[in-house]
Amino acid sequence: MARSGFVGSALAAGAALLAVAVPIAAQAQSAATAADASSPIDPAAMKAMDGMSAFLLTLGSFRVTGEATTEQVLLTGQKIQFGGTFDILARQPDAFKIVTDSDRQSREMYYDGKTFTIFAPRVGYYASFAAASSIGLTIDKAKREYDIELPLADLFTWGTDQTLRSRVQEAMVVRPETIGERKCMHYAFRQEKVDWQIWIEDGARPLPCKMVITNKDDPAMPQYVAVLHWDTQVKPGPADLAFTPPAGAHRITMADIDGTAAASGKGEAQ
Amino acid sequence: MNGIVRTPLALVAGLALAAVEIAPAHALGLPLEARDASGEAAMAPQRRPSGGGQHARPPAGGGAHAAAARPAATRTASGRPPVRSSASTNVNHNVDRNRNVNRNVNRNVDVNVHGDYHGGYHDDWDDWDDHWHPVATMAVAATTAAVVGSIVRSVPPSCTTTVVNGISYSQCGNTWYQPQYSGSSVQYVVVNPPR
Repeated sequence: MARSGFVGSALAAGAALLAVAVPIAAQAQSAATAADASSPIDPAAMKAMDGMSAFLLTLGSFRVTGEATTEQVLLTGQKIQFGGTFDILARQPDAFKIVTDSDRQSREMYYDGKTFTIFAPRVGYYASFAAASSIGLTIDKAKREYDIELPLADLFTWGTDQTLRSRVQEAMVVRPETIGERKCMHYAFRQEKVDWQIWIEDGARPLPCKMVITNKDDPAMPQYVAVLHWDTQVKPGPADLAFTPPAGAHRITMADIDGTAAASGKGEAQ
Repeated sequence: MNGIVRTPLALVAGLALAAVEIAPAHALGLPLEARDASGEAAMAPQRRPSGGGQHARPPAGGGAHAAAARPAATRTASGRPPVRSSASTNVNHNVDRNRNVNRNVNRNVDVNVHGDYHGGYHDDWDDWDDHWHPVATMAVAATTAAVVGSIVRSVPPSCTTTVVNGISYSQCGNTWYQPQYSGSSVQYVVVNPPR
């Protein structure tokens, strides 16, 4: 599945063959030219995502840190931007510790294969729910049942979710660019609800250098921008990933997604 | 609005919000010391007359509902416009976002129209985050009557967390809140004092 994850599903057979036949990113332009010129999906861009997705799947553990900006849209249409940091430490297939920090909000999220816990260090409250058996399923459950959105959750699902590829409506190769000191190829994609851009590092480690996600639900189109720094050598142990309530922290309940009832009693395992 | 969310629109802050369009910040009745300490009065955004409908342009769906929102809904008790949407932090896990958004917008419209909504569900939609402006939060929370079932985004730092029968409460004088997560935000539901 690693190789076929992003490739496998929706692309037309001819384009898929062509993409496979063309050697990697440097050939992007020729691939685009050779493909059906009327297609809004450049197979070279899709192939780059396939390569990145496959590489992500080979990582048993990783840490990705960086700075991110996010925007809120006021009722007036005015956009307000906030900055912050993220620190994602993951061990496939079933453990992570995710820390996001900003002046506005600080959160820690933990998953140990059994329980998902969210903790707000400034106010000292945490809550848990019984998690699913994998990171991907737990991300899904957090979103669907508890309205908790994990930052950059795509890093865990690219390559494993066969449906993601079919959501892409347009794809293009922008150009090679420099992010910090890294040489990265810039790609741009369009989906129904979001436009997104990704910069993928050149060379033997095709990981995202940067991501921009543009939310098209709102006409003001708020954006999330993250620059990512990778440590693929990290070997986190259980203690690095476990949540231990600090002194003075209190467990509280978690409202379900309808806000009508508290999910008390769930996830007692913590 | 960092303080009481639903109830003040109906009871306390409703009048103040109406006055906001023509009055400076102190019309909100914030404690003088709070404003002085933080420069809150100076920091308060310039208010402009609300045109009503054009502010309420929502995301796809629900447009007609939100466009009918009352002008009072375009300002929170802290004088800032409420948040209508935010960026998505991932590409592929926002599938439920539209549904949530529409539901929340409609909820807000209900609140605004009826004006007597207690014990409601709070969401990020009509509010700044809990940590956006802690001093303003304190001022609002301190001046608003606490009705059981109402929900606030945050409580004054002087409140103490107390565990009664295994349940965590935040006690602020005679007012007791039960904190809970709603999404990744912590909200506080006003409850009767536990026995």
